[in-house]
Amino acid sequence: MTGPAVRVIVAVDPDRYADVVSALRRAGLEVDREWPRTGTLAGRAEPACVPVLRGIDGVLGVGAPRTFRITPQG
Amino acid sequence: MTDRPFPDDAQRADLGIDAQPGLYTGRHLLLLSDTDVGAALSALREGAGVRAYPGGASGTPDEGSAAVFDRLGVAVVSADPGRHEALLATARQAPSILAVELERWMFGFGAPTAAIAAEEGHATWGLRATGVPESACRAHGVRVAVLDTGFAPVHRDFADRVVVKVSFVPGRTADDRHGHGTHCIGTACGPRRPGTHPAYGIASEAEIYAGKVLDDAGSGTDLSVIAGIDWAVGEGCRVISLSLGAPVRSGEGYSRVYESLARRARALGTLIVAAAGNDSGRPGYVAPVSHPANCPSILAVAALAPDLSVAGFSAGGGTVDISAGGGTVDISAGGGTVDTSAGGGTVDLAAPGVDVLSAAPEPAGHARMSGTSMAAPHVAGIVALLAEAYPCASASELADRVLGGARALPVPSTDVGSGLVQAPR
Repeated sequence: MTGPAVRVIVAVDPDRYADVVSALRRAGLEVDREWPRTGTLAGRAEPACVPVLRGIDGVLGVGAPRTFRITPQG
Repeated sequence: MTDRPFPDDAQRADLGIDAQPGLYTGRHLLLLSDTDVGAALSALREGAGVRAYPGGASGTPDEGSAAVFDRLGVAVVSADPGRHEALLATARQAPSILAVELERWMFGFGAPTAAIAAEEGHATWGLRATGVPESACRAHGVRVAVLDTGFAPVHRDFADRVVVKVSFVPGRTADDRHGHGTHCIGTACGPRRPGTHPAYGIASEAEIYAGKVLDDAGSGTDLSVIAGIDWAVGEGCRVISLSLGAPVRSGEGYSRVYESLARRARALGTLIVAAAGNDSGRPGYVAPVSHPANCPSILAVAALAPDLSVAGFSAGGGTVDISAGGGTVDISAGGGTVDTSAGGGTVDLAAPGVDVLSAAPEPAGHARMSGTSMAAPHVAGIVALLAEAYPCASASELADRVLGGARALPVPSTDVGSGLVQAPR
Protein backbone atom coordinates (compact mmCIF):
# COMPACT_ATOMS: atom_id res chain seq x y z
CA MET A 1 0.00 0.00 0.00
CA THR A 2 1.28 3.47 -0.84
CA GLY A 3 0.41 6.73 0.80
CA PRO A 4 -1.00 7.32 4.26
CA ALA A 5 -3.81 4.97 5.08
CA VAL A 6 -6.91 5.76 7.09
CA ARG A 7 -8.52 3.31 9.44
CA VAL A 8 -12.01 2.20 8.56
CA ILE A 9 -14.71 -0.10 9.86
CA VAL A 10 -16.88 -1.79 7.28
CA ALA A 11 -20.23 -3.56 7.39
CA VAL A 12 -20.96 -6.09 4.67
CA ASP A 13 -23.79 -8.45 3.82
CA PRO A 14 -23.10 -11.41 6.13
CA ASP A 15 -24.67 -13.80 3.66
CA ARG A 16 -22.05 -12.90 1.03
CA TYR A 17 -19.26 -12.20 3.45
CA ALA A 18 -16.34 -13.97 1.74
CA ASP A 19 -17.08 -12.63 -1.73
CA VAL A 20 -17.55 -9.07 -0.54
CA VAL A 21 -14.38 -9.11 1.54
CA SER A 22 -12.46 -10.39 -1.47
CA ALA A 23 -13.78 -7.48 -3.49
CA LEU A 24 -12.81 -5.09 -0.70
CA ARG A 25 -9.27 -6.44 -0.67
CA ARG A 26 -9.00 -6.11 -4.43
CA ALA A 27 -10.14 -2.51 -4.11
CA GLY A 28 -7.34 -1.70 -1.69
CA LEU A 29 -8.57 -2.54 1.80
CA GLU A 30 -5.99 -4.07 4.10
CA VAL A 31 -8.01 -6.10 6.57
CA ASP A 32 -6.89 -6.08 10.19
CA ARG A 33 -9.82 -7.68 12.03
CA GLU A 34 -12.83 -9.66 10.87
CA TRP A 35 -16.11 -10.62 12.50
CA PRO A 36 -17.86 -12.71 9.82
CA ARG A 37 -20.75 -13.64 12.10
CA THR A 38 -21.93 -10.06 12.30
CA GLY A 39 -20.61 -9.02 8.89
CA THR A 40 -18.14 -6.50 10.23
CA LEU A 41 -14.44 -5.88 9.65
CA ALA A 42 -11.79 -3.31 10.39
CA GLY A 43 -8.87 -2.30 8.25
CA ARG A 44 -6.93 0.41 6.48
CA ALA A 45 -7.17 2.00 3.07
CA GLU A 46 -5.88 4.99 1.21
CA PRO A 47 -8.35 7.87 1.46
CA ALA A 48 -8.95 7.78 -2.29
CA CYS A 49 -10.07 4.17 -1.98
CA VAL A 50 -12.82 4.83 0.53
CA PRO A 51 -15.48 5.93 -1.99
CA VAL A 52 -14.62 2.86 -4.05
CA LEU A 53 -15.10 0.62 -1.03
CA ARG A 54 -18.48 2.20 -0.35
CA GLY A 55 -19.58 1.45 -3.89
CA ILE A 56 -18.86 -2.27 -3.80
CA ASP A 57 -21.94 -4.44 -4.07
CA GLY A 58 -22.64 -5.99 -0.67
CA VAL A 59 -20.97 -3.24 1.33
CA LEU A 60 -23.53 -1.83 3.76
CA GLY A 61 -21.44 0.89 5.34
CA VAL A 62 -17.94 2.27 5.69
CA GLY A 63 -17.08 4.50 8.61
CA ALA A 64 -14.20 5.92 10.58
CA PRO A 65 -13.49 4.26 13.93
CA ARG A 66 -14.51 6.31 16.94
CA THR A 67 -13.53 6.46 20.54
CA PHE A 68 -16.19 5.72 23.12
CA ARG A 69 -16.47 6.96 26.63
CA ILE A 70 -18.69 6.73 29.62
CA THR A 71 -20.08 9.86 31.14
CA PRO A 72 -21.55 9.16 34.55
CA GLN A 73 -23.14 12.16 36.13
CA GLY A 74 -22.13 11.53 39.66
CA MET B 1 -33.61 18.89 -0.17
CA THR B 2 -34.87 22.09 -1.70
CA ASP B 3 -33.08 25.40 -1.72
CA ARG B 4 -35.28 26.52 1.14
CA PRO B 5 -33.74 25.46 4.43
CA PHE B 6 -36.71 26.44 6.50
CA PRO B 7 -40.20 25.20 5.70
CA ASP B 8 -43.08 27.51 4.97
CA ASP B 9 -45.28 26.17 7.72
CA ALA B 10 -42.92 27.13 10.49
CA GLN B 11 -45.04 30.05 11.53
CA ARG B 12 -48.16 27.94 11.61
CA ALA B 13 -46.49 25.45 13.90
CA ASP B 14 -45.28 28.28 16.03
CA LEU B 15 -48.87 29.26 16.72
CA GLY B 16 -49.00 26.25 18.99
CA ILE B 17 -47.36 28.33 21.70
CA ASP B 18 -50.61 29.73 22.92
CA ALA B 19 -52.19 26.30 23.09
CA GLN B 20 -49.70 25.15 25.67
CA PRO B 21 -49.09 28.00 28.06
CA GLY B 22 -46.41 27.42 30.61
CA LEU B 23 -44.38 24.93 28.62
CA TYR B 24 -42.20 27.55 27.00
CA THR B 25 -39.94 30.23 28.33
CA GLY B 26 -40.86 32.71 25.59
CA ARG B 27 -37.35 32.55 24.14
CA HIS B 28 -36.34 30.90 20.88
CA LEU B 29 -33.74 28.24 20.25
CA LEU B 30 -31.93 28.54 16.96
CA LEU B 31 -29.90 25.75 15.42
CA LEU B 32 -27.07 27.30 13.45
CA SER B 33 -24.93 25.80 10.76
CA ASP B 34 -21.82 24.40 12.43
CA THR B 35 -19.67 25.79 9.64
CA ASP B 36 -21.26 29.18 9.30
CA VAL B 37 -22.15 30.56 12.70
CA GLY B 38 -20.82 33.98 11.72
CA ALA B 39 -23.17 34.23 8.76
CA ALA B 40 -26.10 33.22 10.94
CA LEU B 41 -25.32 35.92 13.48
CA SER B 42 -24.96 38.52 10.73
CA ALA B 43 -28.34 37.53 9.35
CA LEU B 44 -29.90 37.82 12.78
CA ARG B 45 -28.40 41.26 13.31
CA GLU B 46 -29.40 42.59 9.90
CA GLY B 47 -32.76 40.84 9.57
CA ALA B 48 -34.11 40.99 13.09
CA GLY B 49 -31.87 43.43 14.93
CA VAL B 50 -30.67 40.74 17.29
CA ARG B 51 -27.37 41.28 19.08
CA ALA B 52 -25.16 38.31 19.89
CA TYR B 53 -22.97 37.61 22.87
CA PRO B 54 -21.12 34.50 24.09
CA GLY B 55 -23.46 32.00 25.65
CA GLY B 56 -21.05 31.08 28.40
CA ALA B 57 -21.82 34.33 30.21
CA SER B 58 -24.16 34.15 33.15
CA GLY B 59 -27.71 35.34 33.06
CA THR B 60 -30.38 35.19 30.38
CA PRO B 61 -30.47 37.19 27.15
CA ASP B 62 -32.22 40.56 27.20
CA GLU B 63 -34.91 41.26 24.63
CA GLY B 64 -33.34 41.57 21.22
CA SER B 65 -30.19 39.65 22.10
CA ALA B 66 -28.88 36.14 21.54
CA ALA B 67 -26.72 33.97 23.77
CA VAL B 68 -24.57 32.03 21.31
CA PHE B 69 -23.00 28.65 22.00
CA ASP B 70 -20.47 28.38 19.18
CA ARG B 71 -19.35 24.84 19.89
CA LEU B 72 -22.89 23.57 19.93
CA GLY B 73 -24.14 25.66 17.03
CA VAL B 74 -27.01 26.92 19.14
CA ALA B 75 -28.29 30.38 19.98
CA VAL B 76 -30.91 31.30 22.57
CA VAL B 77 -32.76 34.40 21.40
CA SER B 78 -35.04 36.61 23.43
CA ALA B 79 -37.49 38.32 21.09
CA ASP B 80 -40.68 40.13 22.06
CA PRO B 81 -43.81 39.71 19.92
CA GLY B 82 -42.84 42.69 17.80
CA ARG B 83 -39.58 41.07 16.83
CA HIS B 84 -41.00 37.54 16.51
CA GLU B 85 -42.10 37.83 12.88
CA ALA B 86 -38.79 39.33 11.78
CA LEU B 87 -36.95 36.53 13.53
CA LEU B 88 -38.93 33.82 11.76
CA ALA B 89 -38.60 35.57 8.41
CA THR B 90 -34.85 35.83 8.87
CA ALA B 91 -34.62 32.17 9.78
CA ARG B 92 -36.54 31.16 6.67
CA GLN B 93 -34.26 33.15 4.41
CA ALA B 94 -30.85 32.46 5.95
CA PRO B 95 -29.34 29.11 4.92
CA SER B 96 -27.04 29.27 7.94
CA ILE B 97 -30.02 29.09 10.33
CA LEU B 98 -31.17 25.50 10.22
CA ALA B 99 -34.12 25.55 12.57
CA VAL B 100 -36.02 27.52 15.16
CA GLU B 101 -37.90 26.16 18.11
CA LEU B 102 -39.32 27.53 21.28
CA GLU B 103 -37.24 27.12 24.38
CA ARG B 104 -39.15 25.15 26.93
CA TRP B 105 -39.18 24.74 30.64
CA MET B 106 -38.30 21.24 31.76
CA PHE B 107 -40.03 21.44 35.09
CA GLY B 108 -43.62 21.05 36.10
CA PHE B 109 -44.77 18.59 33.46
CA GLY B 110 -47.39 16.50 35.16
CA ALA B 111 -47.69 15.62 38.78
CA PRO B 112 -44.51 14.64 40.55
CA THR B 113 -44.42 11.17 42.02
CA ALA B 114 -42.00 11.87 44.78
CA ALA B 115 -43.40 8.99 46.78
CA ILE B 116 -41.44 6.59 44.60
CA ALA B 117 -38.15 7.90 45.87
CA ALA B 118 -39.29 8.72 49.36
CA GLU B 119 -37.78 5.56 50.67
CA GLU B 120 -35.98 2.56 49.28
CA GLY B 121 -37.00 0.03 51.87
CA HIS B 122 -37.14 -3.25 50.01
CA ALA B 123 -36.18 -2.16 46.50
CA THR B 124 -34.54 0.79 44.80
CA TRP B 125 -36.72 3.53 43.42
CA GLY B 126 -35.77 2.40 39.94
CA LEU B 127 -37.00 -1.15 40.45
CA ARG B 128 -40.21 0.09 42.02
CA ALA B 129 -40.88 2.59 39.25
CA THR B 130 -40.47 -0.12 36.64
CA GLY B 131 -42.61 -2.72 38.40
CA VAL B 132 -39.78 -5.18 38.91
CA PRO B 133 -40.71 -6.29 42.46
CA GLU B 134 -44.14 -7.37 41.19
CA SER B 135 -42.73 -9.36 38.28
CA ALA B 136 -42.68 -13.15 38.54
CA CYS B 137 -39.94 -13.32 35.93
CA ARG B 138 -36.25 -13.61 36.95
CA ALA B 139 -34.71 -14.21 33.49
CA HIS B 140 -33.76 -17.73 34.55
CA GLY B 141 -31.08 -19.01 32.19
CA VAL B 142 -31.29 -15.99 29.91
CA ARG B 143 -27.90 -14.70 28.81
CA VAL B 144 -27.36 -10.97 29.25
CA ALA B 145 -24.28 -9.14 28.02
CA VAL B 146 -23.07 -5.90 29.51
CA LEU B 147 -20.22 -4.39 27.51
CA ASP B 148 -18.49 -1.86 29.69
CA THR B 149 -15.50 -1.62 32.03
CA GLY B 150 -15.80 -5.26 33.09
CA PHE B 151 -16.93 -6.69 36.38
CA ALA B 152 -15.56 -6.65 39.90
CA PRO B 153 -13.11 -9.49 40.64
CA VAL B 154 -15.34 -10.61 43.49
CA HIS B 155 -18.61 -9.32 44.88
CA ARG B 156 -20.60 -10.45 47.86
CA ASP B 157 -23.93 -10.27 46.04
CA PHE B 158 -22.83 -12.39 43.06
CA ALA B 159 -21.10 -15.30 44.79
CA ASP B 160 -23.53 -17.86 43.43
CA ARG B 161 -24.00 -16.39 39.96
CA VAL B 162 -22.74 -17.48 36.57
CA VAL B 163 -20.49 -14.65 35.38
CA VAL B 164 -18.54 -15.07 32.14
CA LYS B 165 -15.89 -12.38 31.82
CA VAL B 166 -13.90 -11.57 28.70
CA SER B 167 -11.70 -8.58 28.01
CA PHE B 168 -11.54 -6.96 24.60
CA VAL B 169 -9.16 -4.28 25.81
CA PRO B 170 -5.58 -5.18 24.89
CA GLY B 171 -3.39 -5.91 27.88
CA ARG B 172 -6.20 -5.81 30.41
CA THR B 173 -8.15 -8.49 32.24
CA ALA B 174 -11.91 -8.20 32.45
CA ASP B 175 -11.69 -6.99 36.04
CA ASP B 176 -13.46 -3.71 36.61
CA ARG B 177 -11.10 -1.17 38.17
CA HIS B 178 -13.44 1.69 37.37
CA GLY B 179 -16.79 0.72 38.84
CA HIS B 180 -19.05 1.73 35.96
CA GLY B 181 -19.39 -1.75 34.50
CA THR B 182 -20.06 -3.35 37.87
CA HIS B 183 -22.79 -0.78 38.53
CA CYS B 184 -24.46 -1.45 35.18
CA ILE B 185 -24.29 -5.22 35.67
CA GLY B 186 -25.75 -4.79 39.14
CA THR B 187 -28.82 -3.04 37.76
CA ALA B 188 -29.36 -5.36 34.81
CA CYS B 189 -28.60 -8.65 36.55
CA GLY B 190 -28.08 -8.09 40.28
CA PRO B 191 -29.95 -9.79 43.06
CA ARG B 192 -33.52 -9.12 44.11
CA ARG B 193 -32.56 -9.88 47.72
CA PRO B 194 -29.04 -8.62 48.37
CA GLY B 195 -29.31 -8.63 52.14
CA THR B 196 -28.44 -5.40 53.84
CA HIS B 197 -29.33 -3.18 50.89
CA PRO B 198 -32.52 -2.67 48.92
CA ALA B 199 -32.99 -5.00 45.98
CA TYR B 200 -31.32 -3.36 43.00
CA GLY B 201 -31.11 -6.04 40.31
CA ILE B 202 -33.64 -6.96 37.65
CA ALA B 203 -32.66 -10.13 35.75
CA SER B 204 -31.63 -11.80 38.99
CA GLU B 205 -31.30 -15.31 37.58
CA ALA B 206 -29.71 -14.39 34.26
CA GLU B 207 -26.34 -15.66 33.16
CA ILE B 208 -24.04 -12.64 33.11
CA TYR B 209 -21.71 -12.01 30.19
CA ALA B 210 -19.40 -9.19 31.19
CA GLY B 211 -17.37 -7.92 28.27
CA LYS B 212 -14.69 -5.38 29.03
CA VAL B 213 -14.65 -3.01 26.07
CA LEU B 214 -13.74 0.16 27.98
CA ASP B 215 -10.46 0.60 29.78
CA ASP B 216 -10.16 1.49 33.44
CA ALA B 217 -10.44 5.17 32.57
CA GLY B 218 -13.76 4.53 30.84
CA SER B 219 -12.64 4.88 27.22
CA GLY B 220 -12.73 2.41 24.38
CA THR B 221 -12.58 2.00 20.65
CA ASP B 222 -14.80 0.65 17.92
CA LEU B 223 -12.61 -2.41 17.63
CA SER B 224 -13.29 -3.39 21.22
CA VAL B 225 -16.99 -2.60 21.08
CA ILE B 226 -17.59 -4.44 17.81
CA ALA B 227 -15.59 -7.40 19.07
CA GLY B 228 -17.68 -7.41 22.23
CA ILE B 229 -20.95 -7.28 20.33
CA ASP B 230 -19.83 -10.08 18.04
CA TRP B 231 -18.85 -12.17 21.08
CA ALA B 232 -22.13 -11.60 22.86
CA VAL B 233 -24.11 -12.50 19.76
CA GLY B 234 -22.04 -15.65 19.33
CA GLU B 235 -22.66 -16.63 22.95
CA GLY B 236 -26.39 -16.44 22.42
CA CYS B 237 -27.05 -13.45 24.62
CA ARG B 238 -30.61 -12.23 24.16
CA VAL B 239 -29.76 -8.66 25.02
CA ILE B 240 -26.66 -6.47 25.04
CA SER B 241 -26.50 -3.41 27.25
CA LEU B 242 -24.26 -0.57 26.09
CA SER B 243 -23.74 2.23 28.58
CA LEU B 244 -21.27 3.98 26.34
CA GLY B 245 -21.32 6.33 23.44
CA ALA B 246 -19.71 8.99 21.37
CA PRO B 247 -21.32 12.39 20.89
CA VAL B 248 -22.61 13.26 17.44
CA ARG B 249 -22.96 16.64 15.79
CA SER B 250 -26.36 17.86 14.79
CA GLY B 251 -27.10 16.54 11.33
CA GLU B 252 -24.40 13.90 11.45
CA GLY B 253 -26.79 10.98 11.20
CA TYR B 254 -26.27 7.46 12.45
CA SER B 255 -23.52 4.97 11.66
CA ARG B 256 -24.45 2.66 8.81
CA VAL B 257 -21.89 0.20 10.11
CA TYR B 258 -23.48 -0.03 13.55
CA GLU B 259 -26.97 -0.11 12.11
CA SER B 260 -25.97 -3.06 9.96
CA LEU B 261 -24.36 -4.67 12.99
CA ALA B 262 -27.47 -4.17 15.10
CA ARG B 263 -29.72 -5.59 12.39
CA ARG B 264 -27.51 -8.62 12.06
CA ALA B 265 -27.51 -9.06 15.83
CA ARG B 266 -31.31 -8.96 15.81
CA ALA B 267 -31.44 -11.51 13.02
CA LEU B 268 -29.31 -13.78 15.19
CA GLY B 269 -31.54 -13.25 18.23
CA THR B 270 -29.81 -10.44 20.12
CA LEU B 271 -31.32 -7.06 20.90
CA ILE B 272 -28.98 -4.13 21.59
CA VAL B 273 -29.91 -1.46 24.13
CA ALA B 274 -27.82 1.69 24.55
CA ALA B 275 -27.65 4.81 26.67
CA ALA B 276 -29.02 7.85 24.83
CA GLY B 277 -26.22 10.09 26.09
CA ASN B 278 -25.55 12.60 28.83
CA ASP B 279 -24.63 15.72 26.91
CA SER B 280 -27.77 17.79 27.39
CA GLY B 281 -27.83 20.86 29.56
CA ARG B 282 -31.54 21.30 30.06
CA PRO B 283 -33.51 23.41 29.80
CA GLY B 284 -31.24 25.39 27.48
CA TYR B 285 -29.86 22.63 25.32
CA VAL B 286 -31.01 19.14 24.42
CA ALA B 287 -28.17 17.14 22.87
CA PRO B 288 -28.86 14.72 20.03
CA VAL B 289 -28.89 11.02 20.86
CA SER B 290 -25.32 9.71 20.91
CA HIS B 291 -23.68 7.10 18.72
CA PRO B 292 -24.48 4.20 18.63
CA ALA B 293 -27.81 4.67 20.42
CA ASN B 294 -28.96 6.82 17.51
CA CYS B 295 -29.12 3.79 15.20
CA PRO B 296 -32.73 2.84 14.41
CA SER B 297 -32.19 -0.83 15.31
CA ILE B 298 -30.68 -0.03 18.71
CA LEU B 299 -33.01 0.93 21.55
CA ALA B 300 -31.98 4.34 22.87
CA VAL B 301 -32.72 4.88 26.54
CA ALA B 302 -33.21 8.24 28.22
CA ALA B 303 -32.81 8.87 31.95
CA LEU B 304 -35.49 9.84 34.45
CA ALA B 305 -35.22 11.36 37.92
CA PRO B 306 -37.13 9.89 40.86
CA ASP B 307 -40.04 12.29 40.25
CA LEU B 308 -40.15 10.88 36.70
CA SER B 309 -39.04 14.13 35.13
CA VAL B 310 -36.45 13.93 32.38
CA ALA B 311 -32.92 14.13 33.78
CA GLY B 312 -31.23 17.40 32.89
CA PHE B 313 -28.35 15.63 31.17
CA SER B 314 -30.44 13.19 29.15
CA ALA B 315 -30.17 13.42 25.37
CA GLY B 316 -33.31 13.87 23.30
CA GLY B 317 -34.57 13.03 19.88
CA GLY B 318 -34.97 15.50 17.06
CA THR B 319 -38.13 17.08 15.77
CA VAL B 320 -36.82 18.50 12.53
CA ASP B 321 -35.37 16.58 9.62
CA ILE B 322 -33.90 19.19 7.34
CA SER B 323 -31.29 17.04 5.69
CA ALA B 324 -33.95 14.73 4.28
CA GLY B 325 -35.85 17.66 2.82
CA GLY B 326 -39.45 18.57 3.33
CA GLY B 327 -39.36 18.36 7.09
CA THR B 328 -41.63 20.40 9.26
CA VAL B 329 -40.79 22.38 12.33
CA ASP B 330 -42.71 20.62 15.04
CA ILE B 331 -42.74 23.24 17.73
CA SER B 332 -45.93 21.87 19.21
CA ALA B 333 -44.07 18.73 20.24
CA GLY B 334 -41.80 20.84 22.39
CA GLY B 335 -38.70 18.96 21.41
CA GLY B 336 -36.06 21.41 22.51
CA THR B 337 -33.07 22.01 20.30
CA VAL B 338 -33.06 19.72 17.33
CA ASP B 339 -31.11 16.83 15.98
CA THR B 340 -31.32 17.03 12.23
CA SER B 341 -30.03 13.56 11.49
CA ALA B 342 -31.80 11.85 8.64
CA GLY B 343 -33.51 8.95 10.34
CA GLY B 344 -32.56 7.42 13.66
CA GLY B 345 -31.65 9.67 16.50
CA THR B 346 -34.82 9.13 18.45
CA VAL B 347 -35.23 8.15 22.07
CA ASP B 348 -37.09 4.83 22.30
CA LEU B 349 -37.63 4.43 26.03
CA ALA B 350 -36.91 6.00 29.37
CA ALA B 351 -35.74 4.41 32.59
CA PRO B 352 -34.45 5.42 36.02
CA GLY B 353 -31.12 7.19 35.68
CA VAL B 354 -30.67 9.52 38.62
CA ASP B 355 -29.40 8.51 42.04
CA VAL B 356 -29.41 4.83 41.15
CA LEU B 357 -28.16 2.42 43.79
CA SER B 358 -26.34 -0.64 42.47
CA ALA B 359 -23.24 -2.77 42.85
CA ALA B 360 -19.70 -1.40 43.16
CA PRO B 361 -16.34 -3.14 43.41
CA GLU B 362 -15.43 -4.27 46.91
CA PRO B 363 -14.79 -3.18 49.56
CA ALA B 364 -17.51 -0.56 49.09
CA GLY B 365 -19.83 -3.08 47.48
CA HIS B 366 -22.55 -0.58 46.57
CA ALA B 367 -22.76 2.95 45.17
CA ARG B 368 -25.15 5.48 43.70
CA MET B 369 -24.59 6.82 40.21
CA SER B 370 -26.52 8.91 37.68
CA GLY B 371 -26.59 8.93 33.91
CA THR B 372 -28.29 7.37 30.94
CA SER B 373 -25.63 4.73 31.60
CA MET B 374 -27.77 3.70 34.56
CA ALA B 375 -31.01 3.82 32.57
CA ALA B 376 -29.93 1.46 29.78
CA PRO B 377 -29.33 -1.55 32.06
CA HIS B 378 -32.81 -1.13 33.52
CA VAL B 379 -34.17 -1.71 30.02
CA ALA B 380 -31.71 -4.52 29.29
CA GLY B 381 -32.72 -6.32 32.47
CA ILE B 382 -36.40 -6.01 31.62
CA VAL B 383 -35.77 -7.28 28.08
CA ALA B 384 -34.19 -10.33 29.74
CA LEU B 385 -37.33 -10.81 31.85
CA LEU B 386 -39.37 -10.66 28.65
CA ALA B 387 -37.05 -13.22 27.07
CA GLU B 388 -37.94 -15.60 29.89
CA ALA B 389 -41.65 -14.85 29.54
CA TYR B 390 -41.55 -15.23 25.75
CA PRO B 391 -38.73 -17.68 25.06
CA CYS B 392 -39.57 -18.05 21.38
CA ALA B 393 -39.76 -14.32 20.71
CA SER B 394 -37.35 -12.90 18.18
CA ALA B 395 -35.17 -9.95 19.12
CA SER B 396 -37.45 -7.58 17.25
CA GLU B 397 -40.48 -9.07 19.00
CA LEU B 398 -38.78 -8.44 22.32
CA ALA B 399 -38.19 -4.86 21.22
CA ASP B 400 -41.86 -4.49 20.31
CA ARG B 401 -42.92 -5.93 23.66
CA VAL B 402 -40.67 -3.72 25.75
CA LEU B 403 -41.77 -0.65 23.80
CA GLY B 404 -45.43 -1.63 23.91
CA GLY B 405 -45.35 -2.28 27.63
CA ALA B 406 -43.90 1.11 28.55
CA ARG B 407 -45.87 3.47 30.73
CA ALA B 408 -46.70 6.72 28.98
CA LEU B 409 -45.38 9.85 30.65
CA PRO B 410 -46.73 13.41 30.43
CA VAL B 411 -43.64 14.69 28.64
CA PRO B 412 -42.77 14.88 24.95
CA SER B 413 -41.99 11.57 23.28
CA THR B 414 -38.86 13.15 21.86
CA ASP B 415 -37.48 12.97 25.39
CA VAL B 416 -38.81 9.61 26.59
CA GLY B 417 -39.96 7.68 23.52
CA SER B 418 -42.69 5.23 24.47
CA GLY B 419 -42.29 6.13 28.13
CA LEU B 420 -41.09 4.48 31.32
CA VAL B 421 -40.07 0.85 30.78
CA GLN B 422 -42.15 -1.67 32.71
CA ALA B 423 -41.38 -5.23 33.74
CA PRO B 424 -43.75 -8.03 32.70
CA ARG B 425 -46.01 -9.23 35.49
